Amino acid sequence: MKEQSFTRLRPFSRNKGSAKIFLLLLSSLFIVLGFLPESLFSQASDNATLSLTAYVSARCKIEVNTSIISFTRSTWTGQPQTIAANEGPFTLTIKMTSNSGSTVNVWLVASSDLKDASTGYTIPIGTISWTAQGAGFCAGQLNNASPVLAARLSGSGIFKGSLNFSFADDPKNFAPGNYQATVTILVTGI
Amino acid sequence: MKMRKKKRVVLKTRSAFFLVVLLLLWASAAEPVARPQWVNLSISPSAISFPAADPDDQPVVRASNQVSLTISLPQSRNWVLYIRAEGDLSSAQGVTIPISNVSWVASPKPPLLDGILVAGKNIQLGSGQGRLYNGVLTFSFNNSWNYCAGTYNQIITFTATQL
Repeated sequence: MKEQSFTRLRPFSRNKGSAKIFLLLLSSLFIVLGFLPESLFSQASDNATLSLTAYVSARCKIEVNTSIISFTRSTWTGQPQTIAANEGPFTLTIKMTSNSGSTVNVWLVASSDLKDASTGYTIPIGTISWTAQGAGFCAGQLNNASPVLAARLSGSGIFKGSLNFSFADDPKNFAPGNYQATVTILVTGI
Repeated sequence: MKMRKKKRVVLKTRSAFFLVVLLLLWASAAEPVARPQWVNLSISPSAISFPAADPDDQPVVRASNQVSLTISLPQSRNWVLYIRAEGDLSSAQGVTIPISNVSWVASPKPPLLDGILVAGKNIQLGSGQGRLYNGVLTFSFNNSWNYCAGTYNQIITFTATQL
């Protein structure tokens, strides 16, 4: 009886192979447990922050395809006629970065009437007018008393317009000559 | 006598077994101590800016400063570094510029990578093994006439994880 109860206390003694396998499995389990924390549970991390600031200033750039526009009376009918600019369409590009919600106006400002420097004769600047193509651009007629609106634009971006200038010739009143005036393009509201 | 001898053998076997178990327990517990888990990430400076510029003259604006980056961790350990923009660049007036207009050039390559920021998304900036002492990031901003004038801000978060 004693031997029987003793036998129950030593389960591995009957089969040494089983005991070895059990120990091997147990050892493997602990080895695996020893490595698990590294691979699964012990990831370390650290954070850092960087503050970004971008400055965008309001600015405007005016680009034109030509700085001179000319009109030539090439035929003589004796009657008033409209003469188109020799250079063709005048391309006006407004590049602008504006403040949010602002409206920008583009003006043409004539400094004086057309004047022949050699004779002193003048032709009213109002004889020059234009039609316009392009979103925001509008037709007008030059005036030396006040700026004339050429475009009303809103937002930021690149805005292109095409102005077709013409000269209202009146041969009976305008003597032959070389008449000149300067027109300034003015952008306001940036 | 025979019984006593058998008892001794059993006791010895049990003692050896428990000893092995104790050794294994100690080994498994000691492993993390021998190879500690920690990583330190350092960024300098903590703020950079992109100055205002003519979009025609400077279509891409470089940041005022380069960003130095170091990662410290136990030698021979692997790490991965992520960069995350918390949102688009935004002004106090609520106007935004997509953060995808901000990109960076990294050095050294590898382990670091070049990239473009994406709002709210972790992007892998690099991965490697061992410490990184000389990381440098040069940020750039795509300039445009289309932006509204203003001052735009955003926070970038770097996360280094030891694997």
